[in-house]
Amino acid sequence: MEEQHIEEMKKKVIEAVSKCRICMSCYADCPLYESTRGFVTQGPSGITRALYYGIRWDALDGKDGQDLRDILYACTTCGSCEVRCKKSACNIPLVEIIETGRKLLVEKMVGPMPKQIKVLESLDRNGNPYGEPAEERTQWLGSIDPQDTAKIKLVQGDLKTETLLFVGCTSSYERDLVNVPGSIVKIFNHMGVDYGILKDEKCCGDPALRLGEAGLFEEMAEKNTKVFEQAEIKRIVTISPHCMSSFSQDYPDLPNNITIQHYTEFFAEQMSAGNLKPQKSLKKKVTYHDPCYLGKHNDIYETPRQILTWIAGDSFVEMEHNREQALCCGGGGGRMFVEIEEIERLSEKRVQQALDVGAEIIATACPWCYSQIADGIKTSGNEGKILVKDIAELIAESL
Amino acid sequence: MIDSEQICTKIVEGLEEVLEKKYISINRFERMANALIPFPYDIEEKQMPYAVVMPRTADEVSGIMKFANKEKIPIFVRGSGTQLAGSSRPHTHGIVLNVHRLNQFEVYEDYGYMECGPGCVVAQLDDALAELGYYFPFHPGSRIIANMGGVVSNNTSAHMIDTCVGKPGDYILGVEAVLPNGDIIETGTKGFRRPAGTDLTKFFVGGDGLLGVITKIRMRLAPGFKRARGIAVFEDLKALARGVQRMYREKRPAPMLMEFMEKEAAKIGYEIKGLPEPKGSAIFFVSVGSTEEEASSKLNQVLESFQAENPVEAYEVKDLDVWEKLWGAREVIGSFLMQKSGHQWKAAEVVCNLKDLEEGIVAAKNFNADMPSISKLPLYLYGHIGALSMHPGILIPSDWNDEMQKNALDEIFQKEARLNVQYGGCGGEWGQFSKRKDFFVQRYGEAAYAFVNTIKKAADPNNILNPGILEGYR
Repeated sequence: MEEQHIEEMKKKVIEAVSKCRICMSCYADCPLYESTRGFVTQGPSGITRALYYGIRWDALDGKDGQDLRDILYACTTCGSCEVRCKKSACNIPLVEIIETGRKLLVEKMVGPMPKQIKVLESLDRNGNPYGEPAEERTQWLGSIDPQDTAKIKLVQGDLKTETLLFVGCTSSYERDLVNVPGSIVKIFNHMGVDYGILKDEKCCGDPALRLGEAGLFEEMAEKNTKVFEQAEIKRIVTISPHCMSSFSQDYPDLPNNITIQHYTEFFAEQMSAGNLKPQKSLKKKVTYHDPCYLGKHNDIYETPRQILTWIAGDSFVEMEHNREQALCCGGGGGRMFVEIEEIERLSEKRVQQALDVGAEIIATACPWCYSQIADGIKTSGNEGKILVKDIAELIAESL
Repeated sequence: MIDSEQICTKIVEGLEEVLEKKYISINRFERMANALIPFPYDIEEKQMPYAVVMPRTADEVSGIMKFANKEKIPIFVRGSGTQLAGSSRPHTHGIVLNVHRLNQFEVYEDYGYMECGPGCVVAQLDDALAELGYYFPFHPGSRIIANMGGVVSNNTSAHMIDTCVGKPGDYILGVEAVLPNGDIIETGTKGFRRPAGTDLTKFFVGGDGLLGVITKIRMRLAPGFKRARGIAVFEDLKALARGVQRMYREKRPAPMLMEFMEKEAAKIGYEIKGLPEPKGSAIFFVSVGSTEEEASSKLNQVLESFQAENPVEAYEVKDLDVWEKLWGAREVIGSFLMQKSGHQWKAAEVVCNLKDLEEGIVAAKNFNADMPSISKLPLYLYGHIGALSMHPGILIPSDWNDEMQKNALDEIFQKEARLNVQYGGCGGEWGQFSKRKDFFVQRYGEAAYAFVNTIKKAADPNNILNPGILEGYR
């Protein structure tokens, strides 16, 4: 059965890659190709062709398998190549092919990258990719205003909630990000939303999926789906676009009656309905970095901008590369957990693009983008010149 | 006999003294990826490169060429790999010299020129020059990824109309090139007046990569201008051709861009862009001038010629949103058809003389009618009609095996050669050799072909640089 599944995956790759005409258009927007040495296998169709030949040559293990692993796992899965291919070429599902290749390498026990194995182990053991103890997941609540904490329904056992705030692993454990879930809680409480968070929240499984560990992902999806059903959840609001994307696109059995929303969609709706009104406008010049899993993967480009326009008015400026053309921060596709050689750091490049339009704040709406950009500001020596903020923080500050 | 692994190791050891090891790859997948081009069939084992090298400087290129000559290992120069007649595909085992890192770019406004490496991307240069108020006289369809080295080696202005813009060679003041033996030479001038008499630049610009590796291109800056945009739709394809003939015969100023789509192709393009169905075949064109009035005046002179052929409609398009849709209709046709059918789009380049354009356009429309293996496949005609250049595009099924794909492509190039010989034209976009070698011999004769071979042999006695391009191959 397992062998049959492997053969099906191989067939799927061969069929999909055969439709690519190697026009190379996908290289025009690939952040990996742009930031590395520029070998052909460091760009989209080069990666998928490598996989194609890996299968054709029966070279998925041994030295070839390791070379192929290094090629496949360097991709940020940002989806820029797919946007370009759809626009100018054959509409090849390049990211899906790359992720299928990763699954094949995991089956062959060649993938993921050595440092990423710990991530999978931690997901399995602790329910988060960072090796953090599961029982410390809600410790961030201790860092926010106790008045806000008091209003949060901690869902467990028989307790139900219609609206669930899915905090996600990075927002839960990353100390520098504690203000992000804190801000969302503050806004929810300000609006009087009846909501809860899971006392024993576990990772959505996105890292397992992106790293090719399909079995672990399915297991995590199944467990989370059961939890959502037991708590009779009707709406899940996520902080991370990656969680949102996994729930809405990859969870096989999530009931249809559960609405999945990224928090920017939820707040934009509330702002449109007049339930959320910024009281203070932002005076600093702010720009917006599109997270790939919000924009390119889920077509959500405008709602974050609506919010920023409400808050900042004319102080909101676009970077040269925005929406579909936005540069990836470099943190997706499992790259948060491994150092990939970059000649030019994507996050530093993005910071420079923001500085070029005179921005004082880079707003974003993804914990990984936030971390990457914060690092980019430090490593490029631009501390004090520009700040990264999550949109949630900006809304909370405006109330 | 030593195996390829030993040769790969030998290459790495030999070239480590020339460039950083991290820019030498013998990774099997990387080697394969550098041999692939937009041909729908696999390379053969004998075409698999031994190594890929990515030099940064002319000195490094020189070192690579010297090593290759010493070891008698062929060098295949590669840019973005988008050339459509097969020049970027290695003919035999060898080293692929990828020019990606030769991408230095500087504008010298005081001197009135810019210098760039062959690895610079056309669209990026175009944008950078536009920001400074200059225009860039090349517009290949692959501009978002195409490299300057390929544009210059092929001397292609692609979509731009030669009679208005000229060719890249008309703007290139000189080059720096590494000869097959590793010597580095500079050609041309830093002034605007190019050499009278022997100008070595011409051996490299449009040289099909036979005589040297271009490592730097010096190009004069051309001031930007204003544009006016027009469209003309003709019920009859022959009337469209007559309109173009009339434009030239009536001495109208040639537009910078003049694209066309035959009715069936136009229908699809219009539908994708949400435009009402066109009532015939359409021409889209852009006239230029130093003022908007001048551009508009030139455009209207062209429209006057078209009016005499009773178009369904012919007018200046002033609404830029409408124009974007019309131009977009032409740009997306190939990708849309590929997406809809799942097949691969292959086109020929039929270029006609002015007198026979009316007949030539019909021949291009019926391009595959007498071709045994592809006569039943759908064909869509479009192209750069202002340059009398037409692309019959054919959808080749993706599930055809390699041999069938190869035969189909060969038939396309053979038919292209036949028509170009018949109508006295030649490909103006994708080089003269590789898959087009037979055309060269048919069109210019054995003596001309022998002459090119003599030059090549004199410059590259070991046939180290890009072997196979001149010889042609399947």
